[in-house]
Amino acid sequence: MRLLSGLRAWTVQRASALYMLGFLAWLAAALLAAPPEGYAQWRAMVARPAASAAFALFFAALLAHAWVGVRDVVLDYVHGTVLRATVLALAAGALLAAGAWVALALAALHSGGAAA
Amino acid sequence: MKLSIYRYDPERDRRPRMQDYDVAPAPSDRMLLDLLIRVKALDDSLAFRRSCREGVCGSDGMNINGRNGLACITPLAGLKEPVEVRPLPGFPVIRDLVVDMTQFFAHYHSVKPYLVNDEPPPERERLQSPQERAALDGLYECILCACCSGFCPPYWWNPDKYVGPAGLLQAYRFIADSRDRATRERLAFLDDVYRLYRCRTIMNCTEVCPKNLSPSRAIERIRAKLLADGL
Repeated sequence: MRLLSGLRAWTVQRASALYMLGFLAWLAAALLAAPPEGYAQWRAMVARPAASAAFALFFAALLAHAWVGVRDVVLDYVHGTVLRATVLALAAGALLAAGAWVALALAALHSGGAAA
Repeated sequence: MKLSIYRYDPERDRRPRMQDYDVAPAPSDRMLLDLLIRVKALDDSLAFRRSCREGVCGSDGMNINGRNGLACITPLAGLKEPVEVRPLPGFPVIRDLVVDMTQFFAHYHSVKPYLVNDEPPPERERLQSPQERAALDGLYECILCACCSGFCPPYWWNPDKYVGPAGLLQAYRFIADSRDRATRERLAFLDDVYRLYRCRTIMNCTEVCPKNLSPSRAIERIRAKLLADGL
């Protein structure tokens, strides 16, 4: 809890929102400029090191943003220690699993294996 | 004039109820408090707080037709009938319109609402430039009526941990004071997921403040100070 307390959580929430906004604008522009034709081109596009890094950062920002947001909702609406701890643990587990899935997919892309 | 007033005596009533009154205001009655005093003359079991009856003491904060305000400066003209009068939302009711402000004042005291300055005092007084003094305008005028905190959803959700708009306005009043030397400690105290950061910028506080102050701006400035301090 202390890791993302007060100011730090507030800053992470806003910085991640700005990054996601910029990333999505870039992604939309890139897709409009050169729409990928088929799966192979999609893979090639994401596999470029700069794009992979941008995607990885996007999902990191998304997960951090979601965690701060979900935790805020839980702190506001869910009362009672046991219930609150359960809901927070489930949310953290779901976000970590989503993060692991993204990491595996990106790793598979670079190792040449099938993407998840 | 028709009134519908929240009545609850925990020693006698099982649950709160609304009681209707029909009272004719005298020609000299201008504010809602005048009418409430007339109701009390008819039914002396009605309980409410009032003192200065002119918007200075902050005793008669209540919910009037769904909006928090001071009965003593709420004009009768323009009030929709029946006028629904309830205690401040989110506060424990002691009786009728009288609420328990213990927690509210505990939050107020938690922000150390006084100057902290251990430097030896000058011979006469700690002087401020006109600009330094002007930085306190819009902050020092708070009368602690609790209309803002009583209209703040995050304060309803976490009244035990969130300092609330009134307390945070007071906190910023001392952070902004050039004579205070405890800014760092004050900011460190507020850098907490509950105390300050429960604010969801709903801005009900600024909307209802009977003194036209802006707790939401004060909260924004505390956040900006914390951010500048953290960088």
